[in-house]
Amino acid sequence: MHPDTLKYYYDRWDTLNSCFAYRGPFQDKLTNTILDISEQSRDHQQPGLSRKVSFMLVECFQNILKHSESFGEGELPFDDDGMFSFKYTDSSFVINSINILRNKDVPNLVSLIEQVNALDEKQLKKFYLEHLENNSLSAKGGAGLGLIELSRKSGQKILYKIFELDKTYSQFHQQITLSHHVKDSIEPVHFIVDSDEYYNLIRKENIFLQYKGDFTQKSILPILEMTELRYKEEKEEKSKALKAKHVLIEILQNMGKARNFALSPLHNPILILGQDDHHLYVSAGNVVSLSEKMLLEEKLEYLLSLEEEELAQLHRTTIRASLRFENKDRTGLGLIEVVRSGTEKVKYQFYPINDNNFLFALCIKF
Amino acid sequence: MNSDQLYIAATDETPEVNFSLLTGNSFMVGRSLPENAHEFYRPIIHWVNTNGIRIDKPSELELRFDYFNSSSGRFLFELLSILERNPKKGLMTVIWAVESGDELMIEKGKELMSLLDLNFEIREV
Repeated sequence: MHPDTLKYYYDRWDTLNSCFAYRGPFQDKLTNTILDISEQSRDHQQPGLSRKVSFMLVECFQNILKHSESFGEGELPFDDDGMFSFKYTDSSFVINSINILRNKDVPNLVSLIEQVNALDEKQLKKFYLEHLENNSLSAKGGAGLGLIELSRKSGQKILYKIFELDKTYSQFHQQITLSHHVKDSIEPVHFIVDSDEYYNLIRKENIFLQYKGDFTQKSILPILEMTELRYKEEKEEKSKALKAKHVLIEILQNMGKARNFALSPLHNPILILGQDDHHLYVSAGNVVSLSEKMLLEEKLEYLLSLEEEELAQLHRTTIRASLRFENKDRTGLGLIEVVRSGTEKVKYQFYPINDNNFLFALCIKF
Repeated sequence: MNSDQLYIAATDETPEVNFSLLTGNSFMVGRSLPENAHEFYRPIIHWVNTNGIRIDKPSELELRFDYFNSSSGRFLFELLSILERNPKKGLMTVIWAVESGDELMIEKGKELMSLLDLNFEIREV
């Protein structure tokens, strides 16, 4: 991956404080992981809204799980199960999810969504209670009470699109929107088309995770868990994945430390994980000042000019010398380790974003 | 914290630490990626500096990390440097335990080994 691709996604999301997209595999244990990541971006929210966000994330994510679990192993002739994504816009919290379902399940699903979308708050409550009592909606393999609850909690219409993939399967794209203002009953902004295009793009580029947001220590572990899960099954990739995880720690912690709090959250750091010609790659971008740019450029140019053994020697010298450093958390070892870890030379680029700041984009292949 | 034993329970970001002067065997096991490694390792280094480590018979110090950040590596080096100065260090073996196939951790172990004059064994588990 080239730094320009990272810049493309940085620009694409320049109106969002925070967003997240994941292309599977979908497993139940990731439910908490998704919640942990989303929590990084909602400290400012009212407690009531934050609880709703948690509820909607869990409900939507588990809905994808139900669908993917309803297929036998290797049954689907597609390269992945879909996408789960969320974003925080100025006015709302939006979940866009894509999953595969059987064509025979489509009519019931469409009928249920249309029914739910046509009801007002009181009618929805009645509808929910009726179905709860009669247990008339299947919980397994399809949407049911969860959909009604999503509609009730969000207070907005469920947006959707169904795209027939072949004679047996369709792609179901759903959008759930929660306005930041509880009483807001305006029509939700339609992200389905944008999200479809985005999904096709990240599929083509084999990106499996993207995150833009506040990189705190708490967001590092969920990202590591997702990376681990992604490559658990592929033995030949295991060593590369382990290497990528170690380097991710360095990168994520540096992004967290380097954050400039004077900048708007629209300039939050961005992380992309994917696969490129059987190699894992990590791309990371964060905004730096002119003086930071100059320092980084100087360090990186020097490190990239060294041969492998020279880098190893520099690492040994730095770790020995660090015993005498006053600021023991800032030894510069992290950058040396990042540069040493790739299977090819790391690529980097600085892109001006205003008079004083630059997007620093770094790409490493394992 | 008493002078016979230093025990620190594991967290999501820091390893379980057990340094014992009673048995002579010690270990650090888990993840080590604290944001502020100085804060986490300072009391451990202080304890080892103050109490030393009992080496009157063959003993082991097992280091087994799932994840590891560079600043943890720097403090670990400092910790091992204290042990290196112990005149009875020959009785102690540092076991660098790594997940099988984790080449980067093996490499990190080898690097530490090259910097220190200690009995060092890399063990794939």
